[in-house]
Amino acid sequence: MINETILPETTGWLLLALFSVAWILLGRYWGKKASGLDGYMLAGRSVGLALGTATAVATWVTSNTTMLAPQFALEFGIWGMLAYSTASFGLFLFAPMAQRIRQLMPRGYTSGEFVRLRYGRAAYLLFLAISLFYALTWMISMAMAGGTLLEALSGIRYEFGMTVVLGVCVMYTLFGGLYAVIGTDFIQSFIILVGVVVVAVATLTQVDLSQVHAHTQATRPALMHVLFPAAIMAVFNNLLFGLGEIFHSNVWWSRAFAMREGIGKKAYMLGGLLWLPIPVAAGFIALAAPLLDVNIVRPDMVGPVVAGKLLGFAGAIVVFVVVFSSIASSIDSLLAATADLITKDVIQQFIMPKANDAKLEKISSWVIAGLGVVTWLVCLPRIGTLATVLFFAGALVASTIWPIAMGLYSKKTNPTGAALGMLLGSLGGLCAYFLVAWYVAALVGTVISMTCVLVSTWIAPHSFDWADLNPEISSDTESEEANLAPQPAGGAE
Amino acid sequence: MIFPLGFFEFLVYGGVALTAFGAVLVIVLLLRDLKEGKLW
Repeated sequence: MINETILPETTGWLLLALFSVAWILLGRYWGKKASGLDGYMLAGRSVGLALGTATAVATWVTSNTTMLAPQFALEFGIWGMLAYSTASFGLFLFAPMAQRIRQLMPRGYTSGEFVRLRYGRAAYLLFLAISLFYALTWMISMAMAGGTLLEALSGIRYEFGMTVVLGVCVMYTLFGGLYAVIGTDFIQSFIILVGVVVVAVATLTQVDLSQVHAHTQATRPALMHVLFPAAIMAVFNNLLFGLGEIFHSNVWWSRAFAMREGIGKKAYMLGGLLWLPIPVAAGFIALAAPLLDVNIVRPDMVGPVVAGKLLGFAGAIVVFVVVFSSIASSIDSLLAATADLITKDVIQQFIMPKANDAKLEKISSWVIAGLGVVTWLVCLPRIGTLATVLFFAGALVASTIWPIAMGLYSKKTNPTGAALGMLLGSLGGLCAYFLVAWYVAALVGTVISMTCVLVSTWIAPHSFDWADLNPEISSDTESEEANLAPQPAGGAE
Repeated sequence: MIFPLGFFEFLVYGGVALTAFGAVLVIVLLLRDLKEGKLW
């Protein structure tokens, strides 16, 4: 809890109402384009470069970027800012994968579908468990961040703020599916980029960087040290965490399926480039905190509090809007992508295998609403700090990096090795998380998983047929070929 | 060994400039896609 708020509560409610109405109306407007399952889940598979790039930036700029990046800077100094920026490498490296995903599975829907067809049931079940746990963890951390931010900045009670943020995202995602998500993402990405620049420039006009450098060096020299062991570990951990998050998550796969042919690679590359500097631009103001005598009670709130202190009312409004946009752009994406995963990979696979597209579209809307309710219930008691909640998942997602990358590019990747890699990598990473520190969890998970995948593939290489990733297309082609084949002469009958 | 002031300044000013470039770029891309009818 922050002792003093920067915005009056009435202003907070006003801003909240204004943006909530705007997102819902826009969601409804764009949602009119969504017809059929492809329209609702994948925005008609025809998203262009501008919207594709913006949605990659907006989704990856979470409240953790605007709130945890300053916390990283405060705890790990310059390395902390750089560590957070390495999360953009996930977007860079996913760019060619997005193109390959689109080529290999032109009618695909989810990342779970890929793992099921590529590796079989054991790996599929493990992957689903990891993916759903991660998606829920991320969504919970975002909703909690929403409530925390509104309370810290304007005094709106955590329970009310969290409920409104989550409720608004559920509503517009429900109305418009991925069309609404990607459309609002564009506006949100622009608001985030402009807002970060405004706060950073205003801060630079009031704080001298040489003073910040000198003061930090005098009072907390470790933050400026080139060899700061914990911070360097954090760089690698964050890099691998980011790769794991992006490589496996249906949030990014669904966008790869949704973008028009030839767009995915460019959009993810540009998205990475635009995301790269944001943690630095948002994070450096935390280093100014000690100079400004800002009383930091919660480290993850240092960015907004410093911006509010430096820039007053206008700064608080900008920060409020930026973080609200960051949170909304991530929650909506998670709602849509996780609903796709549950609908296609859980409900259609295990419960209703014969459901048609219209039925699945209806189920998907119910799942979106259900996810909102579950997230709300978990967030209500307000347990744990943002970093603790999110980094718990680092070990799990990092263990998927090698199975996903090798599965996409090598026919020889052994399915048992991939499943073992996810299982042992997750367990090892979790042990490291509890026995060593959070900043080595992803590192350990990745190394164990990599060893399993590479060794098993070396010992017992598989031979996968890429056509098996498109069972519907394969069966269509087979039936077409059967129709075109010369018919046996049957005139005697 | 401490990160030199010059590197710190490069990082911060470079980061802010690149973020500003990003804001301009998304609008340019939007206008281009709108003009070519390739938004969705």
